[in-house]
Amino acid sequence: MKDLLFKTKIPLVCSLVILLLTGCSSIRLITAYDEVTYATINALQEKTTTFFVDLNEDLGTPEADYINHKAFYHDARVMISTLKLRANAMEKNEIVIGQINLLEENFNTLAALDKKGFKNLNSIELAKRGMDMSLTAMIKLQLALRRGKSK
Amino acid sequence: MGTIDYTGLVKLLLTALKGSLANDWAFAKPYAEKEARAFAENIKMIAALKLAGQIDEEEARLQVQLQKNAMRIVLLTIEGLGILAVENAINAAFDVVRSTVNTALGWTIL
Repeated sequence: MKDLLFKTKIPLVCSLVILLLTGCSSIRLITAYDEVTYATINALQEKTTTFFVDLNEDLGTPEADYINHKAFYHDARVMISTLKLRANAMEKNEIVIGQINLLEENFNTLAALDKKGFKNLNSIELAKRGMDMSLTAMIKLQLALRRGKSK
Repeated sequence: MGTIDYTGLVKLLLTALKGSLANDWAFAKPYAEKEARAFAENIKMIAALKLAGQIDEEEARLQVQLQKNAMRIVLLTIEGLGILAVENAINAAFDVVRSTVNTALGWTIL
């Protein structure tokens, strides 16, 4: 038992004391919370939700054609560029950078599906689920980072 | 597409997720389980639509790609949540050590 104590807890405490003595009041393993990143992801999620609501209503009409959605994809690209620029400027942000790159791929895939033309509500629902899963996951991480900031 | 065991797919996903999240599984488990089930359900739906002729091969491929990337984003979130949990645990340990040392010495040196 004493051997275990020497092998685990005492070295851990000593390590923490040494870190504290060298001026480390806390450590950071992942990026800090960023309000602009969180707000931009939220805004992108809102735009995407609106897109799918409109698409559901317009299905079977000329309004559902890709050509009427170019503004949506343009706005999405602008927001993703903003996210990328900001994310690359922050330290320990590899996870969020990875998420943004995958999200960008998903918007490109969504555009490809849109160009083919959605034929039924099920196709739209599937694409919506994928985009919702992506954006919700990113918002979830941002909320956790914000909670961590308040500690 | 051939026959897919969707229950087995969920189990495989959960096992793979568990393998990569060993230390923070208890924390991430509910979210990981929910998203693994959602992913399997969406893949099932894609297969059903293709079999019913409601989508063609290319659309099925694009829809699968979208779902795969969505699941990758979820995995990155789970990884981030795990790192945050570790960070918070270490910083809480810092607070304990700081308080203990300062109290023991009677001086605020840390």
